[in-house]
Amino acid sequence: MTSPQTRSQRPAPVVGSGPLLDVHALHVSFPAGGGAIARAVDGVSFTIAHGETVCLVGESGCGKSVTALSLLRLVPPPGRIDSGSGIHFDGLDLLTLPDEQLRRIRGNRMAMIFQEPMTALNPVLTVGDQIAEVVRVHTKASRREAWESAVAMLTLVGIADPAVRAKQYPHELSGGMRQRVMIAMALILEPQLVIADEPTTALDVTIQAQILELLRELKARTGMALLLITHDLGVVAEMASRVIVMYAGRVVEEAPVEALFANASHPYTEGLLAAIPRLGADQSRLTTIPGTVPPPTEWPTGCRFRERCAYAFDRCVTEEPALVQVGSAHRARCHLVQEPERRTGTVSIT
Amino acid sequence: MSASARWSRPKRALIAPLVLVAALAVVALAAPILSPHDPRVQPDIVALKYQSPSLSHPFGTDAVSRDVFSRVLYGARVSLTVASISVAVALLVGTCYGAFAAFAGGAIDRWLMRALDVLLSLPRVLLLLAVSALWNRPSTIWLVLLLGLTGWYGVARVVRTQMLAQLGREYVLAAQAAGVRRGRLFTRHLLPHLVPVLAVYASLGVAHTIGLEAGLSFLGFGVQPPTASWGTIMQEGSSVASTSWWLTAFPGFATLIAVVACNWLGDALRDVFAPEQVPA
Repeated sequence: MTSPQTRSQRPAPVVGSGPLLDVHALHVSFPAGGGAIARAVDGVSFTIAHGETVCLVGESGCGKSVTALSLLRLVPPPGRIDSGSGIHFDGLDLLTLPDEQLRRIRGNRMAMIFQEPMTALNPVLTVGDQIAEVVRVHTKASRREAWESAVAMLTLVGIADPAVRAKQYPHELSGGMRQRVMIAMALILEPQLVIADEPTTALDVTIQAQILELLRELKARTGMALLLITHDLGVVAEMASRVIVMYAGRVVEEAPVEALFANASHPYTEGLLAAIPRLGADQSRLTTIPGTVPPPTEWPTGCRFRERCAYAFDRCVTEEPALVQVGSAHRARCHLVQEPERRTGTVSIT
Repeated sequence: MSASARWSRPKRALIAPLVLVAALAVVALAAPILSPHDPRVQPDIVALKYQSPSLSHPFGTDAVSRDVFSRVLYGARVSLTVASISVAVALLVGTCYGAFAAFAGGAIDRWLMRALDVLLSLPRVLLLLAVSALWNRPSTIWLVLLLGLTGWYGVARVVRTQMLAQLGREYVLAAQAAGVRRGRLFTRHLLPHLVPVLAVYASLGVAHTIGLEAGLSFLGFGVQPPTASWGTIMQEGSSVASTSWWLTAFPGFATLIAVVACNWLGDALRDVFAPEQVPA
């Protein structure tokens, strides 16, 4: 993918020595007006193994993107990662790592693909410059070598006429091409972990499929791990090996992808699955989950989903369920796991 | 509407002021070629003093028989150079201050901005008069520094605002996520976004400073004889303005043209860079 001299120096990854990324009890809070504190991410724990694809799923406002930004310690101020949180990447404690060492990881060993490439690319720099810059800031490659590897990378992400395209500005490219440029930027140094925050949301459906295919291809090629943030369960089914469902700043269900689709245990996951339109199904209206995610300053007591849950009973008001084991590697944060007889009827259809 | 059609009108409006400013610069640079006489030579201080404009002396002569036309041409060099360099100093200091405040944020930013409010509350002209009066005939270099170091407050504010707007945009986050250092983030990613506002500020600043320097020199606190700026020439002719009008009228007119040209250029640049026309 990159020529040997532009590849950055780094120790060979030790595969099998624990997870690549270990997030433990991550809390991120933002001061809201009037002394209130918005706990956007409230005790999230998960791991990602080397080469694994994990999907982080949830509605807007449930803390997915903030979780992603915390992994690179890029939570926008005044937001902050609270003490007691732990993020370990390949054995390194990212939360105590000096800034300069963290900078050397960003874009090099852990990279990020943003949702909207039009705003995530600098409008006044050519796309080639922006890809080459990643090489320049992390390796000793010369300006020319960096440029050449940028052009080579553009070829790899499927951009025709890469030498010409590299000299163009973001506004001269189509949305799909811009996202390919973002992917080229993120992957040029072959990072061990790529975080993709809704990389296809801003794109047409046909382009979405192409971009996902490209990500799968590059993943197979480099063996990188992928944390894919999405609210599209179709994308999950296609890409993920494991799924983490987030709701209101918490992980509510975590399962291998087959287990999740076969046996969704949290009513929220159930609702998300029911909301997927099905071809040929006898539906005159689409199924929705009633209500919206509450604002992070007003998480409800007890179970945070209870106000929207069709099965909610008295225990849900007083006691927040713990993340309990449903099957192997399958956990859900719901009292119904222990009291299955309470699950009556189906998820409400409006 | 195509992009070119939208851009052409404001861009066309740039041509006239640009030509005018370029012409002034050429006149100043070519002063030795264009001048019919040596501006310092006093050929005959008795017979040739206070000559009204004629073919050999288009702008007349002064009290010691020097050619006013040549003096105005050479004065352009001084006036334009003093204004340009002091504005360059102001832009440099203001950009650094504003960018630092925006980058630092929080309490540092608040204190830097309050300090700026204090500086802005001091009237610039009075400050300049006080300093140059106490200084007793400062050299031109000090005058340039004085003008520059009292002219950057506005630049700092504008740069800070513009920086804060840019820092909130996603490409900054993306660059940080790619591991770009702060210095590089500023010079390569953010500085290009400041160019429009700095260009507008530079031309308006030069216009303002030409007038300011002329005023200071006229009051005797600016450029000191024998070096002549337009203000100095006007000052020398001010006592005989009722009889020898050409001593004040021509340098005054030159000052007017230069100020109008630079203001015009600044306005035209602002139209080109109007935020609603800058592609996102």
